[in-house]
Amino acid sequence: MISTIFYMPKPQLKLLFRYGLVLLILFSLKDSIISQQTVCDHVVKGKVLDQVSTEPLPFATVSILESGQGVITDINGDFIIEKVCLEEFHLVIQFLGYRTVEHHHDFHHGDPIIYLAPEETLLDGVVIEGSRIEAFKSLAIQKLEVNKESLLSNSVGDLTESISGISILKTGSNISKPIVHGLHSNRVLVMNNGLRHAYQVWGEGHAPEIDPSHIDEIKVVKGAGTVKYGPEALGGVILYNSKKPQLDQKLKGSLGTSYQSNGRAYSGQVNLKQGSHRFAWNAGGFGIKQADLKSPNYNLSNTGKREYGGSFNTLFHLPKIDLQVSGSFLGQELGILRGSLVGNLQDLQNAIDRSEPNPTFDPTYEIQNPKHKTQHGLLRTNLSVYLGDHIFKLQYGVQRNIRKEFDVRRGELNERPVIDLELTSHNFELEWVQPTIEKWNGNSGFQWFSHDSANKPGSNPINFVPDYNVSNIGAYTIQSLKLDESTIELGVRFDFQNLSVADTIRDVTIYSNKVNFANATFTLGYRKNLSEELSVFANVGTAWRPPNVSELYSFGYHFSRIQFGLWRYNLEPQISTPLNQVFDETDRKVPSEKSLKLVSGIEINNEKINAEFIIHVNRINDYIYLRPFGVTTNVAGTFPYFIFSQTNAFFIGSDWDFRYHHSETWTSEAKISYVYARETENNQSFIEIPPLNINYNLEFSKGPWVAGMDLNYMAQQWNAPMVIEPISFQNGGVEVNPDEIFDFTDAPNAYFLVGGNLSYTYKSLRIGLRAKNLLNTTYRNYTDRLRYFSDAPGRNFILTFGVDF
Amino acid sequence: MKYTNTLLYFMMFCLLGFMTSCDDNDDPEEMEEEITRIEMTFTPDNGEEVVTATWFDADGEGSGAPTIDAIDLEEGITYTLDIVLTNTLGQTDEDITSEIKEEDDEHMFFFGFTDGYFSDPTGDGNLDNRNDPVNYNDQDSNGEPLGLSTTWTAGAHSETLGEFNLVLKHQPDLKTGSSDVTVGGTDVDITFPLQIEEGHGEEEVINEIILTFTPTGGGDAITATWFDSDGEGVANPTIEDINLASNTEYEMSISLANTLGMEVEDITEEIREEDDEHIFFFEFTSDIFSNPSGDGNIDNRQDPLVYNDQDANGNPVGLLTNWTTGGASSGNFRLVLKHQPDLKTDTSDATVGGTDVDITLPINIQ
Repeated sequence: MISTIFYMPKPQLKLLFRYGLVLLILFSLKDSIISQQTVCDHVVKGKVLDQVSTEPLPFATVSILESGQGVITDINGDFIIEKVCLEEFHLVIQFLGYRTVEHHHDFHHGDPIIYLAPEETLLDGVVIEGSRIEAFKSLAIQKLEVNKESLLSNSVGDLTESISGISILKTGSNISKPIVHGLHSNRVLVMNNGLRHAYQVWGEGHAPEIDPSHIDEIKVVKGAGTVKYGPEALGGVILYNSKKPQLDQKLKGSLGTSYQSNGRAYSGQVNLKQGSHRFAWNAGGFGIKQADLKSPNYNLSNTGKREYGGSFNTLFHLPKIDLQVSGSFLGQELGILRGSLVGNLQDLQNAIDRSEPNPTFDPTYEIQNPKHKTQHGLLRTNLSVYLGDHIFKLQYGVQRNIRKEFDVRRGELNERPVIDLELTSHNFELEWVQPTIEKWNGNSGFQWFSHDSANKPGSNPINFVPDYNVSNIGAYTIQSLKLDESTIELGVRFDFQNLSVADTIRDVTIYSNKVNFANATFTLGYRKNLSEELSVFANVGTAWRPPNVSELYSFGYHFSRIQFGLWRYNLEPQISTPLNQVFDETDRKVPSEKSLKLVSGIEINNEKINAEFIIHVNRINDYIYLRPFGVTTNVAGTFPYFIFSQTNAFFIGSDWDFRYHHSETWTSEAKISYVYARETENNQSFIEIPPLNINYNLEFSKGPWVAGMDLNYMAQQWNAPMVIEPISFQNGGVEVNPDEIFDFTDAPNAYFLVGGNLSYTYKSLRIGLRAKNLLNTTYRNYTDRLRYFSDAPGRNFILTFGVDF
Repeated sequence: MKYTNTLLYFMMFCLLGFMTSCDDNDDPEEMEEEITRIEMTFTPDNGEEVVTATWFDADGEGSGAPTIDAIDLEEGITYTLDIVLTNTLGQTDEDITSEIKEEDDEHMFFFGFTDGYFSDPTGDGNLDNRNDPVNYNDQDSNGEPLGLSTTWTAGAHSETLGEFNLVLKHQPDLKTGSSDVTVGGTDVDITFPLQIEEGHGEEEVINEIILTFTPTGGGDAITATWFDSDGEGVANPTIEDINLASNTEYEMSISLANTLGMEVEDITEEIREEDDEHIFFFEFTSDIFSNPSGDGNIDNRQDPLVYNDQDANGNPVGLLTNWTTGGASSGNFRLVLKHQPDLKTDTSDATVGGTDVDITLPINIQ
């Protein structure tokens, strides 16, 4: 593992970039031309199932339209057609009493699983193709299929939480971002349809702005995913994927709508899709409007929200070429609890001591300050070229993210955001999937991305973060070797990143800086199938991330804390924070954070049980955190202040996920996750590490009826840092011991939540009723940054209605 | 490019003038329409100071050159521009603006400016192309734009001076939805230098508070200053003692400022403007004042305090207060400024709202 700050002049960088690209292309083409030849040795395998019961369908006819070759499925619904000459063709699947399905297939795609719809329903058959490019098998990847209507009542962040090992860091009820194994923000990489989601990731109160209407599945890579996905994946990678448009498909669509009792939120969503022989598309849009939420005992004033978004996906298919163009847009206006506004520590103490937040108004749809307004737009093109057994993928994406944060300020300043940032980013990626030779396969790639963030003028004279530019180039290769029941995987990656910043402080000081970071990362994995039902896996890998702009340059008061970035304070001869001076790497070296993560687990899959147990260990060097340092007085009173500092950290934890099919109608699922985190230099606890979480879900499914019950126990975080009450600073006499991490209150008590759901499907209509916090339990969440100020929302009934057409 | 455009219009204007024998006196209508002063008023939407720029030609068509102010805007700020046109040559000033308003279906302003100097409208104005963006706020009776009122958002700060070109066309029977700057006669074609200043915005940091005690019976005022040289930085403030004479009545005024930027910013005025959202509370060593007695109203809003000012709702503010000292003693004097938007009432106490100021000064009564 190499990690250092070094300098490389820009022209050299460009040269490296160009040569690398040219070499890669030349090398790849040479190889592919040799292997290009047509032979009649293709094989197509698949499975045919009943769409309603998901039982296998034996004796269904599967034939190739172009050649007339055909077979009949066996007792398990499986079929295999051998000696196929064509590279692409149409499969026709027929069975008496079911609608016939015609499916466009080519060999670059995985084996199809065909769901036939009974004629008496209004459903159409569905074909799901596996992917020929298998992801890492040893990384512990968990997947969540998303039901369209569930998105209408959940944010993307909240949905992700139902995967074991994932918690969410909240700023009230409307802002949530995922925590993977105790890490979040810059330490978790969010991929939106294969693109690194570009947003102001440094902010704990900034959730990824992802349009939920196009999300079809959520995957979490719990192991070290850096090699494939790039820097920042210290905790893991979360992938939000949408459905690829399907060829040869009639125009179809779905409508969904929902109403929630808590917050009187209503929402609507529409999705359309169509495919011809060479072209397919899908598109969707959604909107939600929510009034102030309610906790069991009081209104949560100013917690309304508005969200609207849309997306489209197009696919042009030619023999050997797939071209996908897609785009999405999301606009948000998110209210933040009014009672969370505090000026000094006396105010904070008052807020903590109050039985209900002050002020509390009657609920309204209106959103006042404080609030966040964000917009995110994305445009992406993706070209896949199949040359013989090689696959080349070229991806380019552009994203624009606008963020405005409004606070309660004096007079006309209320109209002006305190944070007003525009971020434009570009991603370019080239991937080569090499042909499988014997037992060996792999893929390699080159990635470049750049972020350009600018403060819009007129918001505040002192920008919370400077204008910044990040550009990163990386190249990787992952190779995998399959030996009988074992798979060994090895990956290596090199990254080079340049950060450049510029800003003016109070019209007085102009500063700028350019810093380079370079890192090599690796991953090594092993998976063995001990039997058909049981497999074990282990993966060890490194990850890294450079310090972010907030950690380097923030200065002053922010969210009840006075904090100073790594290049805004000086420790010699004693601590000072010069107002109009900015330091750089010659004054204080700030190495990248580097982690070494081990994930190991057991997977059991049989007729009765689907289970996965994993253990994860993560050691992070040069971990950047806010270190309490002292007490200072300013115009609003006495405050403790914090400096960004580096230390070493250690995380260990376990995720248990156990699904048991009692019978055809009854299924149970239990999930447990726990993570223990430690700052190792002074051996103390960090704040906001998710506590032990136990989840149990019982589901009943018969015919058109599905009913379920959710039980959730969240323990108190017993591994929380010491507590210093805010009032004791105000009264004086409390010394802050540098190095002693503290919190202003105890971690909230353990709580137990009950939820339930009931749904009924009639032909193409779906009606669902869901209850959250059914017992109207009063609780606070340790990973909610507003836990000092208010209880979490109370009981909520959600009615959803969906129809396919 | 803008420059050549201006030149071109100038030449066209001359040529037009030349063809009509360069003598406006031939045309009786034009006589009254002589315009010698054009005042541009840019009103920012953030309540800050209005920016004005005047073009003034004291001798009208005489040989004297006009005086031209520069237009000095701040980056990122949105302004409403109002144009006032006057003829100053007569006995009394003649208001041309109202004449244009009356004939709004025959007049239209066009604007040209250095490309990119405004973020809204973008581009370089509608002199070269009528359809280019300009934010007109007013319309004639036919729904076509007029231009006496327009909206402008200054773009990013630039070191170099730009230009702002204003053209008023007279288009009797010619003004349509597409009539551009080449149509009709030109009444005005003037160019201002345009400067976009770096935004200094407003900061909410308060780092200097001066308490001024003026004896109500006459005599020298006494001041005490609380000053934090680095605002939110870790350095501690310097705090002066309040030294008052015994058994004397004082009126105390509070002034608050931010001295951290290039220019000192007066926060007092902002608080006064928003007095219905702000209130000062006080706490002091018990009984060092004979009036108010007690220890102040931080612990209990109803405790005695002599406020000398009120907001629009009749509630106290506290920028002005009265104090009568007791006998010789010393102690502490604490003042707290609360920000209570939508929350300030006659009972809202020191626990309501956010705290903008909470400082304590030693007090000595001699």
